[in-house]
Amino acid sequence: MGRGNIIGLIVLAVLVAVFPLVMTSPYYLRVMNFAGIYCMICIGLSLLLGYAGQISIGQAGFFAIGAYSSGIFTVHFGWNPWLAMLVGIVLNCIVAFIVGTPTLKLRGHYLAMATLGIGEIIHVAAVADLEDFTSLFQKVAVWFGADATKARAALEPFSELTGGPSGFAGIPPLGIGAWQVSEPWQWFYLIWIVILVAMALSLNLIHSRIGRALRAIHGNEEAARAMGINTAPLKVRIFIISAVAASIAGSFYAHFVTFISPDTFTINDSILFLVMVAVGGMMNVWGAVVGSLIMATLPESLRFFHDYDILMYGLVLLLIMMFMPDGIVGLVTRLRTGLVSKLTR
Amino acid sequence: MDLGTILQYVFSGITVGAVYAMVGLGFTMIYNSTSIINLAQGEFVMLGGLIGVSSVGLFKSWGLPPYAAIPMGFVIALAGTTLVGLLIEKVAIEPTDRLTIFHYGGIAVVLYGLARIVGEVSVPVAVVIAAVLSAAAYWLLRNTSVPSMKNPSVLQLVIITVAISIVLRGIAMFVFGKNPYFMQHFLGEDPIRILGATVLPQTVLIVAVIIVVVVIVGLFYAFTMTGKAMQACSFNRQIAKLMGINDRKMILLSFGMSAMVGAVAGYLVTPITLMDYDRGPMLALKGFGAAVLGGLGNGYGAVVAGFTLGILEGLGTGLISSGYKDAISLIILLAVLFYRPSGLFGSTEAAKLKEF
Repeated sequence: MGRGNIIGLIVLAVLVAVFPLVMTSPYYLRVMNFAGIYCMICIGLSLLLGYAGQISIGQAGFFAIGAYSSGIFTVHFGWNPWLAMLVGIVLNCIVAFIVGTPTLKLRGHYLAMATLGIGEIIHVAAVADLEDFTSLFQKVAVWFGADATKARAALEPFSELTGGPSGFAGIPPLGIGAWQVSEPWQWFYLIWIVILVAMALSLNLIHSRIGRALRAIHGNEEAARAMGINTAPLKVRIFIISAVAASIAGSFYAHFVTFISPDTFTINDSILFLVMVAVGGMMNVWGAVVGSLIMATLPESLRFFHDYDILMYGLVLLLIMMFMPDGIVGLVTRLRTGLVSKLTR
Repeated sequence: MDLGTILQYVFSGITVGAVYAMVGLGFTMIYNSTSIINLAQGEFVMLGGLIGVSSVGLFKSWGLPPYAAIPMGFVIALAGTTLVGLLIEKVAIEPTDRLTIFHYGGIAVVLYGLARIVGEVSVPVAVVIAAVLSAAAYWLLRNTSVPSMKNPSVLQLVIITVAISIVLRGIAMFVFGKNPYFMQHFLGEDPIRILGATVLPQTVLIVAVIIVVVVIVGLFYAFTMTGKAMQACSFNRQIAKLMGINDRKMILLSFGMSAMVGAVAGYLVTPITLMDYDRGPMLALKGFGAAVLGGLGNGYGAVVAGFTLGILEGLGTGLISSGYKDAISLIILLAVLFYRPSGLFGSTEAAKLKEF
C-alpha cells in the first residue's frame, strides 16, 4: 500500500475522530455527512475513471437504486434496514453487470453517452407514475383471463411504491437492535468509518495485480490485452464495484435524510460526481476524498456571495480545471516533488 | 388512430427535432476541431433566444414595426451569442494550451477592475496591486500549472465546458431573470392544414431556415479555404499545423460558428417553446444524443439523427406517455449504440482513431 498512503489513512482517521469533538454544530456535521455520502460514490467513480479510464455519467442511477431499495423495502415491506441495503447492493450488481457488459465495449464519448442514457432511464423510472405500469399489468392479467377487480387489488400496493415525482418520506433510521443512528454526530462516525474502510480496500486493490492491470487498460487497452490482461471482465468488475459504492451511499442517504425523491438523482448529480473526482484529482483515490469535501462544502462557503453563489461556484470550478488539470491532489504532489528536487539539487 | 393524429405527433416532433439537430450540428463543429464535447452548447441556444427576445422587445419599444424588429433581433442574437462563443474560447479554452501576453494582460486588467470596484482604492494603488498580483500569477502559473498544461486531456476540457455552462447560466439568470420569455410568432399563428393535421407557420420557417443553415455550413466546409483548413485540423491537428494552418484560429472559429448555429435555433424556437435561463442542459443532452447517434464528427448525420430523435419523442409522447418520452428516445439511442458503436452514419474505422 505504500508508506504515504498508510500515513494518509491514519491522518484521515485522526481527523474523523476529532472533527465532531471540535465542531459540535449539527449544521456543519450535516454538511460533512453529505460530503461523506458523495465521497463514497466518488471513491468508486475514481477507481473506474482514474484507474480503469472508463467514464461514467450514470452514477446517480446506481445511487438512486441503492436509495430506493432501502426506502421501499423498509417503508413498504418493513424489512430490516441492513437487509434492504444488501438487496440494493445485489440489485445494483445485477444492473451494473447487465448494463456494463455491452456498455463497456464502447469507448470515449460513446461510453459517456451510454452511461448518461442509463442514468437518465433510471431517473425517468423513478419519476414515472407507477399507475401507468400497474394498469398495463392489469390489462395483461385480464387478457390472460384473470378477474379485473382481483388483479387490481393484487397490483394496488405496487402503484405507490416509488411515490413518483414527489418521492416518499418516513424512512426509518439505521440501527442495530435498540441502538439507533439518529444524531448527526453518530451519522458522521458511521459514514466516515465506512469511507475509511472503503479507502483502505481501494488502496489495497490499486496496489495489487488487478490495480496494475487496470492502469494498463487506462494507458492502452490493446497493449494491455497483448500483455495477457483479460480486459473485458475486468472493466465490468470495476464498474460493478463503483455501482456498489454508489449503492451503499444511496442507502445511507435514504436513512440519513429519511426522505427520497427523484430530484436527488438527476444527470446534474452524475455530472457533479464526475466534477468532484476531477477537481480532487483523477489519478489518485485521495482525489475523490479531497474533491468531494471541497465541492460539497464550497456552496456553504460561497453563501457569503448571496445570489451570486452559483456564478462563483462555476468560476471556482472553471479556474480549478483550467489551471490544475490533475486536480488538487495532483497539484500538491507536483509542488512537493518540485520542492524536493529543488532542495536536493 | 388515424393518420392525421399520427402526423400531428410527427409535426410536433419535427419542431423539437430541429433544435436537437442544430445543437447536434454545433457539437460536431467543436468536436471536429478539438475533440471536445462542448456541454455549454445548450447555453448558446438559450442565449440566442433570450438576447433575441430582449432586443426585439427593445426595438418594439422604440416604435419599430415587427417586420423590422424581428430580423434586427435575429442579427443581434446571432452577433451577441457568437461573441460569447469566441470569448469562451479565448478565456477558458485557449489558456489550457498556451498562455499569451494577452492572457496575462487580461488578468492584470481584471485585477485592476476588482481593486477599483470591490476594494475601492485610488488609481495608483490599484495599478500597483494589479501589477504585483499579476506578476505573482505569472510566476505561479509558470512554476506550477504551465508545465502540466500542455496537451490538456479531453475530460479536463469537457469539465471546463461544464463550468462554462454553469457560469453562463448564472449570468443569464442575473441579466434576464428566472421567468420564461414570450415572443410573437414571426409569420402569424394561423395554422396550416395538411392531411388532417395542423402545422404552425413557425415550424415551417424553422425547418426551412435549418435546411438553409445546413446547406451553408456544408458549402463552407466544401468550397472555402478556411472550411478546408478546419477539416484538415479535424483530421490531424499536428499535420495541419505543419502545413501552415493556424490551428488556434480554426478552433476559435469553430467555437464562434457553433455558437452562431445554436443562436439560430434558440431564436427560432422561442415563439413556440418559450425560453428561460435554465433550458440549456437538457438541450445539450439531447443534442449530444443526436451527435452520437449520427456518428460523432458527422454534421449531416447529427442533423438527421436530431430530427429522428425529435420525431421519436413526438410519437412517444403522443402514443405512449409524455412521462416516458425521454426514456423512449434514450432506449433507442442505446440500442443503436450497442448494435453500431460508431453511430448510425459514423465510420467504425474513424471511431477507432479518435483519441477519446
